[in-house]
Formats: sequence, structure tokens, C-alpha cells
Amino acid sequence: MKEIYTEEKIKRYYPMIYRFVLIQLKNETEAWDVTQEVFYRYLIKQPSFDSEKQEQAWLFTVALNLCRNYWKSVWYRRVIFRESDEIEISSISLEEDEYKEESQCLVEAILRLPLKYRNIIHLYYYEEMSISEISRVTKRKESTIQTQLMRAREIIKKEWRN
Amino acid sequence: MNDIRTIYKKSIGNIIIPQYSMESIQQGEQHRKFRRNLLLFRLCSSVIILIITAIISSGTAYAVHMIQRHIHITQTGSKIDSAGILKSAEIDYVQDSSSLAHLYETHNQKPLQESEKDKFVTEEYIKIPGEAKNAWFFTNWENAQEVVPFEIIYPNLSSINYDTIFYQNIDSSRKLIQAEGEDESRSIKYEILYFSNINWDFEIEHNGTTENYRNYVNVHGYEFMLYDVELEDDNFTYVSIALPQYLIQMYFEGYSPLEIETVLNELDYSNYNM
Repeated sequence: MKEIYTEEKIKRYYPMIYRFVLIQLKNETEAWDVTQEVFYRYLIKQPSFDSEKQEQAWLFTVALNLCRNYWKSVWYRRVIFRESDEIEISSISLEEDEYKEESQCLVEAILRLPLKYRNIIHLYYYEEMSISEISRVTKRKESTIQTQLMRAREIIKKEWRN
Repeated sequence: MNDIRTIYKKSIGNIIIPQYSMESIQQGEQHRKFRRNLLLFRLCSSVIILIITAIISSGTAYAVHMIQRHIHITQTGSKIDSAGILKSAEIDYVQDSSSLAHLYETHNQKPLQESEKDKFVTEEYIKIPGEAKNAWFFTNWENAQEVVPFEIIYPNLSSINYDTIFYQNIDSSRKLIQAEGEDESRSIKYEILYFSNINWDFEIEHNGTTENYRNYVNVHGYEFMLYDVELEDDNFTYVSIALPQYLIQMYFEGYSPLEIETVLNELDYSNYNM
């Protein structure tokens, strides 16, 4: 019974975590690998939470920590030589409409953001988390989150308008 | 800002999520175990290679240390030929005069103070083979007499030029002197083996096939044995003379026993009882 419950949860959270990790790593293969690791830890630890929000926050925190480990790894720093703004995402399919070009510019602007801004923007705009929730996930102060969010917006606006 | 949210959500919402399953997540553990084992294997391999390298290095270093400890290369011992090749054989066997002087003093128990003796122990007169440390080469009997700690009874033939006189202190009771020379006027080659405290029978036997062997006793009571030894197509004649404590063995090539008797007469062993 517990296994079925866990499987349902993984089914629900897997796309959410995969998207978040993909935006951080900008590489589908690596994002898949890290997402598998997040849910493997979830299966091993079987943590219990008071609310769904708490559970999501735990998953995002684990995913962010694994992304940080990945960025710090020798493999990432020495073996993968790539430009910082290079985007290796082919799975983002934008709809064919009058806003397609605008959407593409926005996504590319967000993906070009520094790492510390990118996770905040994703959690804020896509996951619609509050400043305090983002603060818990990223282990940063709320004031810091507010400042970084403001700076990220300015960068996006600037690039988007250009 | 709502525009950003709307467009971003719409764009990211279209990301294609890869296939996943519980099995694939659980298989991640096997993958990690494999990676862990691979890492462990590489680590162990590196450690083993390091240990082997360390053993080889220390072994080599120890060997070099032992070689350096037991071989003393001196300026007089090392020679480099015109092609720039270091002659190791000479390095191995030739030692400097100071180490020779030590040996000389040990056996002869005479300090080397006089200049003539200092000259005597240089490699011009003395060379020591690598295996036989208590051995010397000389170019005349007089020099040999200086070192050999017993009286040498040797053929007094002024016409013989001895190429080498070799003395070896075989053990505490036995000594050996071997001299090689040639009488150019007679085309006689001499090889004289002079053993001290030696078993006569033993020395007779060691030359293999023996023919025409006759025993002589000279007027002084010394025995000597004249015999031919045939080796393949060549004729060799050995004369062994037994003295009270020594055995002198001479080797003649291309001489008949009668001719050898003539030579023996000249060697002052002429008065024999057949």
C-alpha cells in the first residue's frame, strides 16, 4: 500500500523536479540523471511531511543540493567545456503563435541568468512559491531572495526588451 | 511581470518529460554501486601499482647501494677507451694502491715504507683477480719472493722470460705459484706449478690420460715423475718434481722425454737415479 502511495507521489513530482533540474543544468541527460538521484533518495529515506508544500520543498532542496554538487564536481568543471550561456535543451517546444519569438527570447534570457538567479526565478514564476518558501528551499535569507529576485528581473527585462 | 510568468510557465510547461519508472529509479542504486566499485577498483589498482613501483625502486636502490658498498672504483681502476666505453672488467678487478698495501701488509706483515716497495705494490707489478683476493701477479721471481711467505725453489734459467708469475694463497695451509714463460732459443714453453703442502698422488691424477710415466729420484733424495699427457692431437709433457714439502710441475710442449732430460740437467735436477 505504501509502495503504491510512493509511486503516485513520484509520478506527480517527477515532472516538477525534472523541469527545475533541467533549467539549472541546461542539459537533458544530466538533468535526467540528477532527477533519478533525487527520487532514489526519496525512496531510500521515505521522509514524512506535515504538508505537501513541505514535501515539495524537501524535494527542491535535495535537487538544488545535487545540482550544486554537480557544478562543483571535477567532471563538470574540467571535462565539460562549454560556454556559460550555451543551452542544450531541445525538449522545449514553443507553440507556433504570434508570441513564439517573444517566448523564445524570454526563455533564453532566463537560461542565461547566473545560477543563483535562475533557481529563484524558476521557483518564483513557475512553481509560484513565496519568498519565504524559496528562502527555505535555497537556505538563503528572505531579504537576499528579494534582492536577487529584483536583480534577476532587471536583467531579464533588459535582455528581453533588447 | 505577469507576462513573464505566463510566457515562462507556458514555455517550460511544454518541456518533454523523459520516460521514467520505479525500476529505473531503483536501478540507479546498482549504477551507483557499479560506479563506487569502479572507483574502488581504480583506487586499489593505483595503490597496488604504487606499492609495486616502490618495491622495485627500493630494490634497485638497495642493489645500487650494495654495489657501491662492495666495489671501489678509483682513478687508477677506471679506463675509458677511445670510443668512450668504460671498461668495467678493469674497474672490477683493479684496486688502488692503498687497498693493495693493506693486503700486502696483512700477508707479508711488512710495512710498506720504502719507496721501492711502494712502487712494487702499484698495478704495474700486481693485479688481483676479482674472485681470488689473496692473489698477485709478478713479472719476476725476485718480486714474488718479496711477498710469498715461504722459500721458492725455482728453475734458475736466465734464458727464460717469465711472462707472468701468479701467486695465490689458496687457504691457510696451501700456497700456489704458477709461472708461465718461454725459452725462445729452444721454443720451449714452461708452465711451472708450485704447490706447497700438497698431496702428490692427487696432483698426478688430475691431468687425465697419462702415458710413459717414469719415476726418478735424484741424488738429493727428491722424487720426480716424468710423464706424457696426450690431449687430442697435441703432445704435452709434464714433469712433476716432488720436494719435501712442495710439488713442482713443469709443462713442455713439443719435446720428447730425452730432450726434457737435457733440459732438466740444465735445471740442476740432472743427477737422477732411474
